[in-house]
Amino acid sequence: MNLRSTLLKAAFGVAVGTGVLWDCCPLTTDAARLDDVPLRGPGYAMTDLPLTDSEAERYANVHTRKRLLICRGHAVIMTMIDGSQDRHAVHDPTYCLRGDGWRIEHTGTLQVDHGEQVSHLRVSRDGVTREAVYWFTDGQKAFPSIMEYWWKCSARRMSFGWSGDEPVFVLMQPANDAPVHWRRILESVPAILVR
Amino acid sequence: MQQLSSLTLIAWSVWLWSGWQSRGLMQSWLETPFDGLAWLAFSLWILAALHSLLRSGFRQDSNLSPRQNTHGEAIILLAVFLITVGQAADLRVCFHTSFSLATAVTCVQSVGGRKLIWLLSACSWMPALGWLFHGSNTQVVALLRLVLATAGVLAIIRFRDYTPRFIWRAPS
Repeated sequence: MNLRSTLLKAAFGVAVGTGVLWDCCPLTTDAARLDDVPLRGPGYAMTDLPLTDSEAERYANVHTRKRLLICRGHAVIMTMIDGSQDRHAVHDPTYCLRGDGWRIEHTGTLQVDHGEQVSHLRVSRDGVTREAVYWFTDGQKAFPSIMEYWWKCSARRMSFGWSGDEPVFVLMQPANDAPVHWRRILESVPAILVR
Repeated sequence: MQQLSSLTLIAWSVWLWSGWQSRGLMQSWLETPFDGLAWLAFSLWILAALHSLLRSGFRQDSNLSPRQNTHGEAIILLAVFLITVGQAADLRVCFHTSFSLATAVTCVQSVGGRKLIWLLSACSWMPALGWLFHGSNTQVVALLRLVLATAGVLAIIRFRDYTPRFIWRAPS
């Protein structure tokens, strides 16, 4: 048996060992942090909504909260997903929407007064146009990039949680056909921007 | 019974481990719109590899030159590295790439020339392709998957081996 063969076997052994190690050491996560968003505050009120059957199935392995937010005359549905247990449950929203047949009419970022950025989408399907905003937050800042989300999740897993909290995905959609002033909502409820 | 070389044993071990780590593929193919026909692309791709394995009569070891052996070791080392990164960072695309590399070493033996085209066509069944092309629509991505997989199959299968070889002689 030559040296290279021995090294290959050792490398494979390390790979299997680390795989078992990472599977046996689940990262600690604060399951209650989604509930930390206050249901009431100055100028807004929220109520919990049940997940639909498909949502409950899709997010069975992760912590999810869905709420109706009433703020300054606007009604929006807010979905918060904590992918700590299974980060693959959090998808790129543009990927999901296009997969469901929606056409992306507009995509951009909204700058909020607090210096945070969120993604803004306008999509259409069968003559129906919808808007949504989404962002990720790791407790320190809100950011709109899915690549940054993936990077932070990977870094957290590689460092066994030392790199920081798992980012939470937040999606907001209008609850009715009325136009929504997103920036006003986000600036009125800063607690939902950075959790 | 022919004794398997050390490289072949490790390659099959890596193949099994990366295959196990890629076990979520089936669910992804069934549920994700951008993964439409990825199962068919995978079937074509893996059948081409099995065809190559059968054609060699499972005698990978005796056919390998020292240079091919070195290449095989380098590819398996890369596959092991990708598995480790995939496990550490929870990146499934690393498992899928590792599986395709291990398949190349176990079934196809080398990745030079036309076999490299077959290896690159492994992207046809990977969910990552759907994400990369999600700016287009789902039908276009499904078609792209089939085209890539077919190109890989055509690259690896030598059709001239199946051409009937006889010489017709005119009666004198």
